[in-house]
Amino acid sequence: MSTYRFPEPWATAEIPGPRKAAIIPRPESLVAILRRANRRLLVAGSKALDRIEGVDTVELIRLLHSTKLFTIVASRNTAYRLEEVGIPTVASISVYELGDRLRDSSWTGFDGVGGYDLVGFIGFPYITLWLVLSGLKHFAPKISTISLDPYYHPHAYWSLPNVKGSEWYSFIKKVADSFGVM
Amino acid sequence: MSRRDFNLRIKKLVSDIFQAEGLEISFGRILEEWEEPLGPTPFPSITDLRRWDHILLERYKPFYMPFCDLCCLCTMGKCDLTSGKRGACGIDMPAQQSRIVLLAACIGAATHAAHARHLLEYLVSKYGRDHPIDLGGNIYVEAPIIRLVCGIKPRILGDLEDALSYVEEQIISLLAATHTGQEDSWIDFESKVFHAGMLDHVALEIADLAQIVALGYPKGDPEAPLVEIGLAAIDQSKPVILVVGHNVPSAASIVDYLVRNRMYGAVEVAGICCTAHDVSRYNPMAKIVGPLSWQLRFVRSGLPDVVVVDEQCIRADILLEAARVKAPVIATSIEKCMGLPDATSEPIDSIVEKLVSGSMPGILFLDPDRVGELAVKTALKIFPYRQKIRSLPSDEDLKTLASKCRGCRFCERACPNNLPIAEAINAASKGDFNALAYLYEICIGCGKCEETCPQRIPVHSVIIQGARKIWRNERFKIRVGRGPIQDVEIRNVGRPIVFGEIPGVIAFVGCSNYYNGGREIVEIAEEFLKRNYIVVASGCAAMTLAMAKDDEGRSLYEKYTGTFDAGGLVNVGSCISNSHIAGAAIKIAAIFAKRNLRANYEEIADYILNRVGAVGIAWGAMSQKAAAIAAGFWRLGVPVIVGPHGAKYRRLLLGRRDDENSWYVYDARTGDRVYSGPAPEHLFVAAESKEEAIVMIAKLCMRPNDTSKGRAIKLSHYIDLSKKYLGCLPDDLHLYVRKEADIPLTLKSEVLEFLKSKGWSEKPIPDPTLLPRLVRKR
Repeated sequence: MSTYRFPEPWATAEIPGPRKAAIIPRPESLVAILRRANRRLLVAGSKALDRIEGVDTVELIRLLHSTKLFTIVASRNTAYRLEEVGIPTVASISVYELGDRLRDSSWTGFDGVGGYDLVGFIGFPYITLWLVLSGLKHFAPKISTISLDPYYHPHAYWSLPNVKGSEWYSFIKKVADSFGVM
Repeated sequence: MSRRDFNLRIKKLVSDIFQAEGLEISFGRILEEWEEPLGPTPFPSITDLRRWDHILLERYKPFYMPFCDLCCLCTMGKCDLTSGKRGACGIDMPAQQSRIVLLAACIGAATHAAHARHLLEYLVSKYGRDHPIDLGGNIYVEAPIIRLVCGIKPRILGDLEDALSYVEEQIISLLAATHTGQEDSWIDFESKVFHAGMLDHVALEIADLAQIVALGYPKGDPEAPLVEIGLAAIDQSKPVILVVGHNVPSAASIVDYLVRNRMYGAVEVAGICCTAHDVSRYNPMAKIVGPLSWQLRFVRSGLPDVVVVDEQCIRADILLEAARVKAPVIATSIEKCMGLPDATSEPIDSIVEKLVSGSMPGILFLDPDRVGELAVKTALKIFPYRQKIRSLPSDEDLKTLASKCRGCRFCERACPNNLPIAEAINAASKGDFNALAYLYEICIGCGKCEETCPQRIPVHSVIIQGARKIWRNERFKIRVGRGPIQDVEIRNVGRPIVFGEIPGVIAFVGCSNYYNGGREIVEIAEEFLKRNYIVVASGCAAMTLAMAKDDEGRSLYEKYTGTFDAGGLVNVGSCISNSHIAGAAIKIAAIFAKRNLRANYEEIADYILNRVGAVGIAWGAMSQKAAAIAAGFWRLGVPVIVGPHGAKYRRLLLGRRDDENSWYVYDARTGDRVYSGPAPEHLFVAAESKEEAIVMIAKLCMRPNDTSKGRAIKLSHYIDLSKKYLGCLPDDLHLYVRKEADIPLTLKSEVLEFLKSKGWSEKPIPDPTLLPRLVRKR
């Protein structure tokens, strides 16, 4: 996987502060992180219907959905399109509204059972996710956030590095394969 | 609060026994009586409306998204505020973020107040303190914000000084609260943000009112003239004077000089940003180039022969850019001196020589009355020499420059919109410029791409030149800013707005920092115009709305009436004209509902929040001024939606529709606490996409007071737009249906089925208020 030697935000000026995301170096690492979590939420953003770095993002969401690990929610303009291609979402919600709920430790999630301990994000405009992850880093400290976009996000707890589209696809595919997805 | 109640200013006094200069004497205020009784909060101090702010902030809590994890405002820092840490002074992250928001709001409010001060002093010196504030026979509530906040009714220009002094004093106190060791609570910082916003609106009104009455702008004329906008609207066969900024006296001076000397047709006066709005209000022969993001492309096109800048939102590198095309710069504002020598006292002809010869790239010239002569003489003299020198590459050079690209994509990583620049440059190296043209349409013109290019490719210039076929035909029509809304218009629409039969008033405001190009706000606006919402616009957003044509070649301003009525598109004017948008909401409460306006802020804001379905859209908001304007709307109870970049203001004010307790109001008839539904759901929210914004707008127009007929109309749009753009019924529909009569007839069975699945039951429709003192039953 081609990474920059030192993790740096994809948008070069978006330097945060002392605490930066740990890079997920290999698919196996992400598999381990996912296995450790109890309540996992996958959030598909407003660009999830686009090709990002030349990759069909919906296909990656389908792979992640196939792991049966995640409850999936999506941005308002994205949810129904995911439903149309057979990826069920439990809610369509603005990522800012979602961030506002996630930082509330008394929120009981979309099923009323309880909050989430791991939240993955995919398919976002860089700056949108950068900001929401900042809010969660500061005000939802118990949640492990993961950026699954092909860009390093310093405000996440875990992040992929800046990678090429082909490497991104391969990474997610290997993760899905590890959970027995064909 | 100390109040200066009567002011006497004497510039120079010479007598037998003493001499004085700048003498100022103040006496106690004489509060003038008029037909309205004085309300509870004249000239409110920082804490007078704190209770109202806290009511709002308990419902609409901030969601902070820090831009930086550190505080670096004092020498005990930097302090790391992550993970709940406090800084050396004891501050925590929520307080630090709200403190930064307050700083931004203070900067914005101070900018508008200083603008108002310069303008007012200039106009008073030119037209006299006694120049009447007369907006014509259709506008009696001439200054709704000043009446509401200050409790005074300005009759002459001089009366505005009182309100402006109040604004200035308050801004100083707010700024003081941001000092280390002062305010430390997020909720009180936020309350102060609201206060800064309210002050900002007073300053806006002072500035625009003064220039309307003194400079003879349109006074609420729905048929204000249509003028040209776009690069192609500028006649390049003539000398071109470009005016950039917000404060109009210099631009007006240019127009005056041309008219006085019968030269108007010989020289083009073209504007960018709000000075363009205002100079076209002053003289509709002036032309508008476009919003603030058009600065680089227009200067580099080589069309301007002279660049005259005043204040606000002007690029910090405009002197460098103008020098590249050998166009001299004349700086005219004390706020933006640009390191230039002050030539105000020099003879005009001597300055012209220096500017034309190039011995000086620009000068500072602080006499607005003589700027016209200087700019025109310079333009006429330099025009034959300049030959419209460009700093854009030639068509032949485009391929060569593009072929230098190594594909590092640093340009994309610097681009605020992460645009696919490398791909477009690569295509251009092969002679295909279509992708560059695509970029031009969505580029915000910041130029960061070329600042970062290791190959020193002038990326932005390459994009502009690659899109030359587009901008060479960029020519549209915009209606001149009409200023205030007429009282008679308010009488006509007040009832249908308050009862919900006109489904909403949507204000497109703010800058041009769009995430996906300006075309999106044109599409959003037209969606609502077709649905008979009232659409108002100001500033750069008002310009962007003009910059698209339908199949018949018409802009939105040519297609839709300029009346403040259902299906009307109203350009109020420049940034400072935003006061008329807030003013319209206030006037609905005062004129239609006959609520006392005078110094009665809390009650009027409560009225607007619960009854006036107005929403602001600042899709490309960029500046601190935009932050202050938005804050003024929040305190007034008007929600604001920003585009994706607007979230960089660091925090949103979000309601929680899933928290039932947030949405109880008092029924003013009975005093009962009644669930009113999440209306409006948010006070400040960013939308991720155009589609989300459209549906959000329809939702945020709902108000607790809507009649069943009005709510049914609003719901029909909410449902229809949700289906059209999001592919489904709104998942929170049950929260907005109070009675079966609220359900749109044509959707009844579908909606009832949905409501059944949610266990819905009917709820009372209150006479809503958040203020216990307004409950009538005792």
